[in-house]
Amino acid sequence: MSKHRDIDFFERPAAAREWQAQETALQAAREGRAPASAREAAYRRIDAAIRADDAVGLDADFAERLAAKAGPVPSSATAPEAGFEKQLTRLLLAALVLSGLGVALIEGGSWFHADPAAWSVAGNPWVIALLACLGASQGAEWLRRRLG
Amino acid sequence: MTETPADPRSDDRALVQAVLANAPGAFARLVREYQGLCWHIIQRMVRNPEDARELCQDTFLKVHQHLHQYRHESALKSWIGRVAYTVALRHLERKRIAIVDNVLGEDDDLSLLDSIGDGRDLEADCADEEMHGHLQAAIDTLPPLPRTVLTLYHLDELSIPEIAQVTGLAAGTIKSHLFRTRLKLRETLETRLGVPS
Repeated sequence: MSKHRDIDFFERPAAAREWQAQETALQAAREGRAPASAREAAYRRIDAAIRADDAVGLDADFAERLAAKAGPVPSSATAPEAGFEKQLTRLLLAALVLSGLGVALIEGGSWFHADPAAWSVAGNPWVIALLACLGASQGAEWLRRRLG
Repeated sequence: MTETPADPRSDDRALVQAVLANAPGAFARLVREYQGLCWHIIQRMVRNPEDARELCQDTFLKVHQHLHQYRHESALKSWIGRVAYTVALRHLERKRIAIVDNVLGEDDDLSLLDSIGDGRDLEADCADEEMHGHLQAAIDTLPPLPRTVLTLYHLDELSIPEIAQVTGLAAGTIKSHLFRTRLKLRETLETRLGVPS
């Protein structure tokens, strides 16, 4: 079980300085600059050791063999779980609508008689807030599709 | 006339569309492009080449099966990396192998910082090859998660947010792992050289 605790670099200036030294060494190694200190040289050795183990132990024809094994890619229309998801979504929506209608039929009379002013959309801040949220959500989705 | 740099996101989109359209060779191209990343993640996590080969195959078969669910909300390499990481993690869970050590307390970090000297010129000391071998051995003994995070950051050059997307961990946690692990490796170097604390 992991009991890792994150370091708060804002509260630990010594750790923040050491982090900066680690990053400076990495940057210097990428840029081909000579190390400026013994500490930087140590971190560059560590970087070099990590980068040295870069061999990929897969066969040269791994991609081709896998593609042949995998066959055609399922689309969202043909994927088995997509059909189930659509059915379940339709079922849940239908249940929501039916239960909403049921509650309205049973309790609707008492709501109206209790406070006719509650049916006024313009005067009800909660209805306005709901409409604003729906509008923002739909607008964001439309923008996302337009911008791809 | 200046050339506009290639947009990696639009390259991702084109490749995914080609694969979903079952264009000849598209899926093989996707595998070739990301098999290195997949291997690095899985091999660093499980540390067994035979298991790693099988798990890489499992990863790409899952990618093949679920690519239609990829929503382009993250880079394709982060999405595939996430699949690889999850496959490796499940493998380790089945074998009941922990992916991190018990925590170093904050006091342990400070004592490591204090004990590591700054005046020794490691470039001058010790043969390169010998020191390199010591470091490789030390990296091999790291727990799976810090070892994988180091590899993704140093070798595959993923950013901290990208590594966070692959592993599902917070960016602060990734940064802490990088910091502690590199500090410990530096202590290993100093210890090998017999620097008194």
